[in-house]
Amino acid sequence: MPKGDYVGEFELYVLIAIAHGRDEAYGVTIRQEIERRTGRLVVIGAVHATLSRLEEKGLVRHRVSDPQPVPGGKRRKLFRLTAAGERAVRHSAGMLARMLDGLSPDLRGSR
Amino acid sequence: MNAPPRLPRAAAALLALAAPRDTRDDVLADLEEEYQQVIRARGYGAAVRWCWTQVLLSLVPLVRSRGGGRTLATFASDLRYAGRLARRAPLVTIAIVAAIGGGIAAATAIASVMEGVFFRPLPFPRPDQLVQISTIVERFGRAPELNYLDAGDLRTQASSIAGLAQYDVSAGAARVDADAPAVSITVVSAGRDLAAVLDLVPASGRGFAAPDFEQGAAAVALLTDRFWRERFGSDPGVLGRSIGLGPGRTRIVGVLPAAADRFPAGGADIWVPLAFPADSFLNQRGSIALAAIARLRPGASLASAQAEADTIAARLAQAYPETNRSRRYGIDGLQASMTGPVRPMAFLLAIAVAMLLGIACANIANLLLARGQARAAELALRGALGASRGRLVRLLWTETFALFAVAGIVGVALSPAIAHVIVARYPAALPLAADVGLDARVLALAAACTLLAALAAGLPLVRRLSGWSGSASFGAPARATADRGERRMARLLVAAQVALSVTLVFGGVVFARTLLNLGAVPPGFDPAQLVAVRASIPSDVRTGPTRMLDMQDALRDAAARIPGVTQAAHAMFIPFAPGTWGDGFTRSGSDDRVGPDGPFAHFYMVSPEYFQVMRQPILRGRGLGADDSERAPRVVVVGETLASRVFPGRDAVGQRIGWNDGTWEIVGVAADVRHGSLWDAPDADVYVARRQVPRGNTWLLLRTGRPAGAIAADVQRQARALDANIVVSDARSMTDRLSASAAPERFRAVVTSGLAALALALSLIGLYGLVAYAVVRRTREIGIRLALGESPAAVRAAVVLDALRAIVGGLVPGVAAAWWSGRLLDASGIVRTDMPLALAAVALIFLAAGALAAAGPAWRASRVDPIAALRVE
Repeated sequence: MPKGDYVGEFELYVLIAIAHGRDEAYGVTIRQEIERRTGRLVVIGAVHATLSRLEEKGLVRHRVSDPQPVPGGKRRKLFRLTAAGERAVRHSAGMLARMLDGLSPDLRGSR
Repeated sequence: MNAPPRLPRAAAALLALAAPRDTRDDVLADLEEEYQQVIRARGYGAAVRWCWTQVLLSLVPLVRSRGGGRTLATFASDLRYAGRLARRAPLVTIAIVAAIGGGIAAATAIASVMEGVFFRPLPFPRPDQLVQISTIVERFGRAPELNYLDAGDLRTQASSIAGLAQYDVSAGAARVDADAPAVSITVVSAGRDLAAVLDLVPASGRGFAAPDFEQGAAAVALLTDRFWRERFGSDPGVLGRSIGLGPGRTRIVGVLPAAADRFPAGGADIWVPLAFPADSFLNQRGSIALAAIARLRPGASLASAQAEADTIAARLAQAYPETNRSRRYGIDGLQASMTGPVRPMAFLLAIAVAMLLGIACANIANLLLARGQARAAELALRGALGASRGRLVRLLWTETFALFAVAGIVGVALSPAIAHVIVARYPAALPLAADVGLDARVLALAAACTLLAALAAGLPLVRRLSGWSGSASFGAPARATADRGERRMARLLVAAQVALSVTLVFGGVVFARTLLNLGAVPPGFDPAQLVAVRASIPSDVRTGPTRMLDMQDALRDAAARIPGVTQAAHAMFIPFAPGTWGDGFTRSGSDDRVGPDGPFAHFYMVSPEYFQVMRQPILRGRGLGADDSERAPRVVVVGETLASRVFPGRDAVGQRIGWNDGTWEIVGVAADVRHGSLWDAPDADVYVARRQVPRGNTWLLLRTGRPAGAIAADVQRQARALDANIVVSDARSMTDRLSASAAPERFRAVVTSGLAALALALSLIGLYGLVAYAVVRRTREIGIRLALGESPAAVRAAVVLDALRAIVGGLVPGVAAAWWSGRLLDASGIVRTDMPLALAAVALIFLAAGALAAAGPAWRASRVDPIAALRVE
């Protein structure tokens, strides 16, 4: 397995949130997506710090959007997964699934 | 539409500081975007909280992401090292925490008091609409009151005024239980709309209604929250009970909300309806006796209200030229006019404390410098082992900031106690809009002060770093000759302390001298062994003026029989107690007019014994006698000032004045008396026999060596025998009253002298340290000098001269600053002393103290053993 495919828990969440964003994910949506799905407090600084790290590892990349269609609208950095990023998500999800396989449903935590 | 609220600036700045450059804009943009979403979803307050949570919790991940993981670890290790260092030299640590902590405590305390007084809005709805209306009379200046009829015109004619209410604050006495002794209280006589203008709704019971203000209505009162808590233990069953306020019983109909305790300044105990008979002097255009507040209509500004008031004043001047010709109205924000009187003192305190903090910083900077010198070898070693200069700078800053942070926390923890002492000891009621305490703004200020202090105190140390981290210092911890630059820096710091201290000590001297000068002003009567007691004679007793006058005389005669009382008199007003009767009069046979343009005096209705009891000399003619009764020709005694002002170059005795619908002959001239304050020059005074102008207000003046409290009990007993409803209150000796009138001066003198003593002590300790250290560092040089035949006396002189040079270096800018602040104080009118003399005294104090501080080290220097000194290395 190439170096960099292994990701930490929060990195994984960020990757998944980007995948949910379908090429339109940026800081705010990523933060809100993780907060909404996990129910825990997510701070903007942690999201951006993680995005920088993931980009360094080559798991995500960004493009800069057109300015927002409002007066003084800003350009956003929109993130998407690279092939390596997709592989990392698949890999981590697969590992987790294999690890959980055979556990009783209440331990698996599925609803 | 309004622009959307901006991000809290401090939070945004903090985030920008922490974020790596390439993501800074994105993080801020995201924060801004979501901040607006949260405002829309959950409101402004929630958004601010959300924003701060986001920013504070983002700091660590962001700093780490810029490769700051190591920074954080280094920081933690430096912090641990600072802790070890602090424990190793506990005295230095304690000195820093005490000096800086004390300074921060004082600064924070002053800040929280000022916050409560000046920066918190009054606790009434829409407080910025509340204004105070005062009257400005040409030649007489501004009175914080408004004529009752003028008030009616302003109320109906000024469209920018939504409501206007008048009130009067007076000292009174209340008997909570019929048998209990009376307690002194503050009473607000509230005009019809006072509660409505302030927008106060009673916390329980009802407010005043229209019938309560009618003549002959049953007496009713509202309790303030404070009085209800303190005297009635917050008893909810208090409504319907009655208390004794002067004559008869007054029914309690309601309790005011806690906010009412903030009005007027210092609060009151009881509100009663403001009611007076139609023929009262209050109901005439001439009198200016009731305070007035108003609420502006939404959208009206102070300026528009003032413009309207000016127009109305001009109209009234046309309609009633006799009284209103030179009358205008001043409209000021209520809070501004309540806090105006305390402003100079508050800023004086703030400046003094800031200077003390500055002195402490300079002192500690020197201490840090000395400690740094002692660590020169360690720092050099670190440098030799590869620590960069930046790394060492960071180490020193971390140590300094850690120490100061501890000092700041200690200071903030101590500050509430100091703030409460200030509030309790302040010589007048502080117009606090809220309780004094720590809030976010005060804490931010304390943090800023601490940070600034750390920067100021640490800068000299860090600047000197390059001198030590070089290899030159390594292995040579006790070089024999002092390093030039370092000596210059230490000397500069001592000079800075001296300069700041000179200004503070100058302030202390000036205020102390002012207090002494004030104490030396003769009041014009003999205050020793003189007690004044107020007697409230109920109106049912005083039905008919003769009956009341008989009662006053009977009370005086009964009081004169009390054992230990040698003489007794009574008067309507007495010196150094609130209340005067100011009025215009005319000189008979002149074209004088009664009113603002004509002669004006204060009128004092006194019993015949008054001048003897007060020991106020009659300079010409005679005093007032028992014969000057209701039916006798009307006569007055005038004060010296009036005699020379109104009848210049003539004898006033025998002249006649027109006043109170009659002609009065001047039968005597009395020595001047200061009535209100020792500050003010005596004013024009007229003394009238009480029998000729009967009034109810009664003060008993008793010559006695016994304490006021004991006398009051005896007077009360005698009064009871005459009439069960007479209330005796406010018994104090005249010396007490005089001393209370100088309370602001005493407070200023005590506070500034205390700060000055601290400043002097700190700067002398600093100087002593400088000289003692220099002697130790120059031991070798001194040894050589002595060995070469220099006399010990010359060595001593050199050391003392060195110290004096440091002192003079600070004296020059210090004296300049003191001279300038002296001019400011002079202009403010709160000091009275000879400034150049005070300045010279301060310079002498510092030179003498400097020589004293240098004496010990100088002595040691002259005793240096040349052999031992040369063996040091």
